[in-house]
Amino acid sequence: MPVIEVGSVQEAVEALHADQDGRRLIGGGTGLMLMARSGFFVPETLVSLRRVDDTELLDIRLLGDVLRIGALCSLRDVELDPVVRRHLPSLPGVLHRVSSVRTRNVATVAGCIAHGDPKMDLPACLMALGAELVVASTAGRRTIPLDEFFVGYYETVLDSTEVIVAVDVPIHRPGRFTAYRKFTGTLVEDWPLVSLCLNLDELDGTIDRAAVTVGALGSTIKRLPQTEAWLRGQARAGIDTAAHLDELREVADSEIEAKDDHLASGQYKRKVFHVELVRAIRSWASAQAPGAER
Amino acid sequence: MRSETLPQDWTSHAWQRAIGNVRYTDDDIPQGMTYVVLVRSTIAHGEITSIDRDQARAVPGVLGVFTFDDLMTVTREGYHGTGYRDQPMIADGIVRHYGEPVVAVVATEQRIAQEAAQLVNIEYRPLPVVIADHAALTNPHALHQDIEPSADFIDLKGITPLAENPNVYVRSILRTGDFDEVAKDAPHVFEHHFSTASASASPLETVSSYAMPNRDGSIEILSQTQMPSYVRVQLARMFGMSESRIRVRHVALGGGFGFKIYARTEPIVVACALLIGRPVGIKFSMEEQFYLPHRRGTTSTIASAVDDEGNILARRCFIIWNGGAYADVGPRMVKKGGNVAAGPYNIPVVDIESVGVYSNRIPGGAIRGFGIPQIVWAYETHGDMIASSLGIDPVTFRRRNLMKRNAIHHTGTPLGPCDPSLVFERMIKELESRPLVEPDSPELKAGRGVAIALKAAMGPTTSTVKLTLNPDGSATVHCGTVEMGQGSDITMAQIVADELNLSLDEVKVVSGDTDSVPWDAMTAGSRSTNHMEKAISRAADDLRTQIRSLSDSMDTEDRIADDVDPFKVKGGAIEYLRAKFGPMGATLTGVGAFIPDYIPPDSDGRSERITEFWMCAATAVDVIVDPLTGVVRIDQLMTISDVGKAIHPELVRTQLSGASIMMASISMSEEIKYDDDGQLLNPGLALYRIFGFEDSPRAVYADMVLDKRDQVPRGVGESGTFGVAPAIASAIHDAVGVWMTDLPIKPENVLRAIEEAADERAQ
Repeated sequence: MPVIEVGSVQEAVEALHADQDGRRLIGGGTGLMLMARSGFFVPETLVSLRRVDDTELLDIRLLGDVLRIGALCSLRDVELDPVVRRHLPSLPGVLHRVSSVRTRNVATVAGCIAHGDPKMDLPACLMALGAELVVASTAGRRTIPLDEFFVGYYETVLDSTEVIVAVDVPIHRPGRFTAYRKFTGTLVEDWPLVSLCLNLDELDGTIDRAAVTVGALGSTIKRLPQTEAWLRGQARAGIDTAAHLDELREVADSEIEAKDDHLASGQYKRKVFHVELVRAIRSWASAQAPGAER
Repeated sequence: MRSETLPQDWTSHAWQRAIGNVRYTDDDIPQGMTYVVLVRSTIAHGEITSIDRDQARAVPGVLGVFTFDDLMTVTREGYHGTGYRDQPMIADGIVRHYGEPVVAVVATEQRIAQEAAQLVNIEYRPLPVVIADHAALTNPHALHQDIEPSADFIDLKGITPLAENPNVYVRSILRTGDFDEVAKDAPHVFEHHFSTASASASPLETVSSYAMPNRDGSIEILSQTQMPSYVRVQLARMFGMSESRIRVRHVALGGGFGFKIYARTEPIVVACALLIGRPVGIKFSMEEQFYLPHRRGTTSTIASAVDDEGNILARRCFIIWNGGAYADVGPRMVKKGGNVAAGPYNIPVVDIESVGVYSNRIPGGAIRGFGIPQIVWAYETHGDMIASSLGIDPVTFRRRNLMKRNAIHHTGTPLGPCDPSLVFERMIKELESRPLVEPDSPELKAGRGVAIALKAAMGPTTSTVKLTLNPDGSATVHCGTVEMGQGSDITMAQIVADELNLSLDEVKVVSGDTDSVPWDAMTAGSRSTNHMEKAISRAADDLRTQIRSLSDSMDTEDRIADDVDPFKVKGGAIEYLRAKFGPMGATLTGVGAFIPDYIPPDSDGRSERITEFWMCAATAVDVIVDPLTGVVRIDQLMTISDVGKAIHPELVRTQLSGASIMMASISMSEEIKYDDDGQLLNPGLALYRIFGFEDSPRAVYADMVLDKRDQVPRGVGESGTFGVAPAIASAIHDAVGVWMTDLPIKPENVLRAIEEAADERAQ
């Protein structure tokens, strides 16, 4: 399999533009390798970003109230970075549970988003945090909110000539609570059977803004707008009464799809989703009120 | 003489293994190697109607694209198998399981062979596919016609498929009375059903073998094998060569677990090598390894007639072993598994029927535990369910029924020094000092379970050994046991050192070459240490006899007294060698052979000597269950085994604990999945999930019961597997009040059982 090694984003977009069907970007290659080994997808020609040295793709920078994470940062880089720890305190914990250190040393942030796999942990979390992708092509640059990025199973809106340059993630602010729940079943380290991310902004004891994403269940990672609408305005005190939780369950249930597969039945996954959602809500309800923490 | 901790040599060797600093088979591949890649079937059952090889042959670097008929031009007997010669080297006109090799593509590089393999086009006429255990038993179409027994092994002599159902390749009966007679008058009769899944062994060093033909027509094979002697015999038979012209070599294995046994890949590389006149090798990826024989699944029914106090009056067992497309070692497993299916319990009447069936699954092989975990899963869980129904504590229930040393087993063979009662009591005592964990969250529930189990040795097979006394009194032992991480090299060295009164660093163990190492049937936890110890002892006696006769030819005052062991005095033996052969002495070689006594079972399955020894072990497990999701985590995992004499206690403990963790993973997470068309859904470790380090129980404990009266080493490698699954099930019941009857134990099934139990209570 031929590999074209490019030294910059410019070279990368030109290489992709030159052959719009047969070329595929490779960052760390961890996701692509699994697909190739199982014969699911074997690319014709690879455009490798390994030698790219544009700082834009390798840095993590604070830009106002957004953290710009370079596309080619490894998951391990992000996990250990002190700026990330400070401004996106939920991320290191999420990344710590992704696969193994060996994989995280090699897998890139952009790669795990562009792969379009609904089981990926990082994109589920970033979507709830309101992240946007900065994307380059020969036509210039555009910004894509992560909410709009995934359109199907392993399918994204990224054009075959486009390269993700960075991910902009709104940083943590007082009153914000972020919880990522990854249900792996029997094994501690595994793909999630169900994953969800809860990102709440609290004001005076009630939820002012809510973002809820669910991953692994359906064909894409997605937001749950009705669940978010239900959460808005809920007070911390009393949110976990049986009546409230029944209501929440009904609302959330209508927004998720859970199919049977060889891992578990759709019915089971649905039950687990509800357990995880309640546990996420309870972890917020029992957390210290904002201002008291950090 | 022997310390409780391991010798420096072993510890540093184990460390080297852990960091991957050992030279394995693929690290020293002979020069000029070419590679064979197998084109595998994409259906589970069908007749091959056409094979189009033209495109593949045209790829530069391809040296041959071979079908079974091509391989047969250099082969005398194309079929092999432990019990029956039912398996062709590669498919012979018909495929019987998904992934069965059909075409062998040989090329100068493995990568080229792989590319060319993609270009081979095979067409099939599909035949009905049968996957499930019961469907296999009732399948009206015979998967095999007129199969020939191998007659290689004494215990498999005379096996024959059932006339009325040829898909039953063996039926084994053990009957000591009429169950129904007892049951009809019994106060209680309980019947339960259990199942286990097919599971793999996944040694991290994936299988490979290499064949190097020599110009004089002889051939050398380098293979990852636990059975070099057997491989040589089979290759000689299959290729019509003298055994003296076949050399099988091996180095230390990166895990065997019963996966690397019998002649599976060697015939293919030999045939290809003979065809092209060049060395040919094969190397499997982890994914491809899943198409090799692995742990077979079972369906069983077990019934017991019990009195009010919990004494078991009679027990009936019916076990279906889903053997897959080829019998492989299935016939032995069916018999041995059937023999112990009633458990280590004093039961006056047992009625056991154990059947092996052909199906379109990948064949079952001989994985660590050899069918016993599947059997114990049924009888121990069944016992716990009975105790619970009768309101009897499971410990009391076992105490009431457990066999003790010297008890006569249902087969009619005495237990000898093997003592299930003693082992069980040791475990109960150990548990007293280990309180059940308090879970961190009030939502979680903890529970504890215990199980006890029994297994017979393999038999009867032969071990021979060559023991050489070097001129300086040090020793070299040529011993066919294969080092695969279980510590056999150091164990055999210790046995020799003990016999000849030497220190460990004065003993060299040579293995790995059939040109110099004498016959050993196979390396397995149910025979190697025990049989080799006896063979070494006889070889040492042979040396003693030779030294005695040397000394007899000398002056009376220099003679060794009749009652003196020349090895008892350090340096004593070589005095006589030097006296006879001059100051530099000479080497002296003794040989020893051991085969256990064996009496084949009668038509009721009974024999007074069905096994050389028995092994037993108790397992205790603490679990933490999340009742809202059904997720079960193992907190403590404890094993106590009765191993007879422990050559190296620390090695024994690591074997026991390793086996128990492996079995915990199999019980909770491992399952080879098929769809209805027989396609394998989860080959490879990305899809077939095994325990990682973080899944290990918080606390793992293993120990052995040592009885000073018992100076014979018995099996160690497998005992840790026997009782793990039922102990987990029992612990789950203790925690959340539900019974699991199917392996692996999945969170979804645990949750469903909890919900069904809650619904029942609500009604």
